[in-house]
Amino acid sequence: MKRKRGGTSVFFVLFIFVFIIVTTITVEFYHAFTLKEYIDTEMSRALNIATDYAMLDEYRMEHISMIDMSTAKSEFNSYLHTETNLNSSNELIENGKVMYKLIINTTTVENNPVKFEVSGIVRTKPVLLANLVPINVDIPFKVKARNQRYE
Amino acid sequence: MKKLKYNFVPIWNKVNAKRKKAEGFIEILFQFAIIMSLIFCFLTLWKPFIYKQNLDYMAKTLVRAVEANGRINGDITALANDLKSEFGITPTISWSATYNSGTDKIQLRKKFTLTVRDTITIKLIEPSFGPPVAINIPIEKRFIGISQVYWK
Repeated sequence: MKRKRGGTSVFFVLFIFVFIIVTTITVEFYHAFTLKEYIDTEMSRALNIATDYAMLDEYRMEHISMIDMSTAKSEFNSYLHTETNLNSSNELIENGKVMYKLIINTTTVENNPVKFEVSGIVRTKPVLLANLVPINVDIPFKVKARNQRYE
Repeated sequence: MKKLKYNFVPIWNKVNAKRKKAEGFIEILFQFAIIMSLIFCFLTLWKPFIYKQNLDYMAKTLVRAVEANGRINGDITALANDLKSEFGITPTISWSATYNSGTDKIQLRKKFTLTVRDTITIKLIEPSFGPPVAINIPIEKRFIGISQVYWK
């Protein structure tokens, strides 16, 4: 009788343990997934806006697709800092805490046809385990914008 | 100590066994009720959940279309009607934006808001002898977009 009771307690503790692990993993993955989705959307917006703004119209009549590269890059950075509230180190700080850091590894701007491509990583901390496990979670991203003539 | 004339132990054991059986029956009854409630909730809430998913998808598609189009015109209205008929939903759609004067164009980096409103009906009981007992839940979702077209 006592052995059976002990067995039940062990199974209950195991169940709770597994439940906590599964919940933690789910929350962490959900956080990473939503952050990745948000960054993809915002980067895509920034690139589209920068590309459209920096197109050089005088070349269009000659059917040449050209972009002012420096304007495109500055417009892209301007969007990141004004619309997504990143600071000069590309970090989003809320309540004195760094929520994530955007690390841009490559920026490629090409002409004819115009192509603006950015890739890098978003560095964030775990939501639930930030105090227990001092690790960074790196989420990669790669976003591309093109300007194409149809007529 | 005086010994009792009758031995009550077998009777007590019988009563105890019956009590345990009754407890077991009530326990099973509760378990059954909980399981049935879960199944009922799953069947009842499944349709509104899908409805809300479709509403979100439609709103996101419209916002994305206006972002790329840079204007809210007949094409967007036609797209909204197509999506409504595709998903079988009938929400009220309203736009809020700062347009270029005298046009339906939204300048680059100007924000606009799409609001979708609808009511989801959850039927609790549908008796044959009377009207169904239902709960109407109003939904209002707001999505913000940003124009990606430079109007020169």
